[in-house]
Amino acid sequence: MELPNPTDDEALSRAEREALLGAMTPGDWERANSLARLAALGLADMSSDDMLQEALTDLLAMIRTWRRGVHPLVTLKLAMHSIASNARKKAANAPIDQYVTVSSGEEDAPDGHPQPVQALDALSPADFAEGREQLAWIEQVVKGDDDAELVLIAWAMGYRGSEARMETGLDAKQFDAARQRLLRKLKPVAAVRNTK
Amino acid sequence: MTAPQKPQDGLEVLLDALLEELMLMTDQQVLDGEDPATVQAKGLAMLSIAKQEAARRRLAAVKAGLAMARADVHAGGDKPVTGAQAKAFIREAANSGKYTLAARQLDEMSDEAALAIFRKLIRLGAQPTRESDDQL
Repeated sequence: MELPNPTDDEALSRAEREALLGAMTPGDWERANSLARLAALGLADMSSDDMLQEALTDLLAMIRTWRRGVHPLVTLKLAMHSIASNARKKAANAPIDQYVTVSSGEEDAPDGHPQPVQALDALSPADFAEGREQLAWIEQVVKGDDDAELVLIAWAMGYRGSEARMETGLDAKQFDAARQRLLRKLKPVAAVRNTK
Repeated sequence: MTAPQKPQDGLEVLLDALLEELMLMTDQQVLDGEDPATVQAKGLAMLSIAKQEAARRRLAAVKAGLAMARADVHAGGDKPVTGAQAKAFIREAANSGKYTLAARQLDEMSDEAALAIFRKLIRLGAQPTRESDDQL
């Protein structure tokens, strides 16, 4: 077996993966935390810390492919999406929906948490698998903040960066502030679950 | 404005959009008052745990592969080794530095090809690490 010269679409070795992850800046670690908060939102058995930990472990165990030249955050995002999708499919196929807080329909949601739902859940397994349930969770988190809701909707529609800003109709300053508030609102939800 | 490409799924679209926004933000904006040293220390601690867990999983895969290989030898080749087990064994052998194989080559290799290389490595005397051997 002869080792050919590495090419751009070849997977990284374990040592290369360790080196790239170990060289991540504090800003990149916080970016990874933000992605993990979103990916883990609504998952009953996985906190955002669990999500990031699992993605790191899968990458170092060589279970997931990491193409040469791909940024660590892009690779982590792909890994976390896959982990979240698998967890959702598994849960959606389970006989009991573990994601919802069952309610009589009278009480209010605790601060920062989605509204409890009636015992009969209208979401189909496809909703879980396709991420619509995730969006519903985040909509609850940003509820009442019109600008943050606009940013979220633009993202959900697939608009990015300056296109997302144009879609919201917000000026740059308003958009940055709304984006920051949206990211901040995800933190308390994740923090509660990470300490459990 | 042109409509964006059709999304793969809702979560992926949101993650893609969030990542792009995060990359456009400065470190200061992303950290949003968090202590950089604390954030990095937590990340590196998670990386350290990931290294240990990944090693544990690799050793478990080697252990399973070797057990199958021994059973295979014992049974005169009648006992089947799966393609996944063969790949795990080959990956570990390649990581030992004694054998070389492109990672992509292994990812895209058919089960049949992996099993053929696996048997060749066994015949060549490929051994697990001492640590994993102790666990067998």
